[in-house]
Amino acid sequence: MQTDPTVFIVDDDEAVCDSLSLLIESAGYRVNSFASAEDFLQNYTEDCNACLLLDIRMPGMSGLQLQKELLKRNFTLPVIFITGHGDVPMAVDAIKWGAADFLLKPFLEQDVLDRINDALKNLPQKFHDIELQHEISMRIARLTRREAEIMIMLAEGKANKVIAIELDISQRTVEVHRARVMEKMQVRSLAQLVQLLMQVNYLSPQ
Amino acid sequence: MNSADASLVDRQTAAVAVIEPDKITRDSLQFLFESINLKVVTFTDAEHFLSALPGQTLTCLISEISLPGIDGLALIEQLKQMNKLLPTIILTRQNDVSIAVQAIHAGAADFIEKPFVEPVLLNRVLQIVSKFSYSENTSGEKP
Repeated sequence: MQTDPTVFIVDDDEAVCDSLSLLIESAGYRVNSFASAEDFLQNYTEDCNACLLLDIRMPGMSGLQLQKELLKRNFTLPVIFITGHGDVPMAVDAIKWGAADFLLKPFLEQDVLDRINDALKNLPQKFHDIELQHEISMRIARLTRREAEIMIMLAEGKANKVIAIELDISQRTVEVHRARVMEKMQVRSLAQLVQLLMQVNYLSPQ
Repeated sequence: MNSADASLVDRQTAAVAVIEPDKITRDSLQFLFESINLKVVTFTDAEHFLSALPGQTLTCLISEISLPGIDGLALIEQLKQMNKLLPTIILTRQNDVSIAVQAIHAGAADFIEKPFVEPVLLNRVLQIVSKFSYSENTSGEKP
């Protein structure tokens, strides 16, 4: 049986923490609040059924810094920013870095609950698609023309030997190219490679 | 192709599309992108852009949100449905946080408010052009 999801709150304003806690608990979630990003990082252990309401402007580590720190540590906790001092560039940056949402204070109570609900529904939070696509395209761009050609043939399921014959090069050369492709695309298996290429529509579905 | 010249070549072969209803802004964007050797095609609305799309090899799209007919956000959705990977920068006078969030979630590569700072816009466009030019140039090699 699954327990109720946890909503973590990180906000240096005690009054905001208290009122958010009350609101969110009344909606049936468990709440765990912290007064600083540092405090949260020290106490957080990975919870796959949770989200984080995060203030931006705080003494010490800011909310945006905490978001990046979580990414660095590979925590896939959905982050909803709630801030009184947000602007468009800040919101764009936060969402591009994978934030689930960005809310300006003052907010409607129902709005907060809706965003929490949405964030929890979309678990596990993936790094934002378009950023992932950019990243993959960047890796593809680092390939030489020959490597790209061989990558496609690999993804089509062709064996090294077949590729060697079709391109009229030695099998050893194919192996070298193949290793470079895997390295530049940062994948360890052919399955991972195909998955990546599908994500940027580099491969048309058969 | 000499790989040392790659960035230069990419820029000369890369084309950007601009969708902007306001003529003065449209012209100034065209001038701005042409000044760094990008090919530019401009449109007044999304419908015209979409009907011209099949014949184009584009690296990047710069679009206003407030358009007559299909708006910029709906256009991004439509491009996604068409499986068209066209990095789109929203350049808009709608400087609203929730719209910006919506745009990035929908898949916009960036969201820049008007009035814009030219170097900031150019920088973002060039980043996209350098990332995507290879896959565009070699689209013929895709299976």
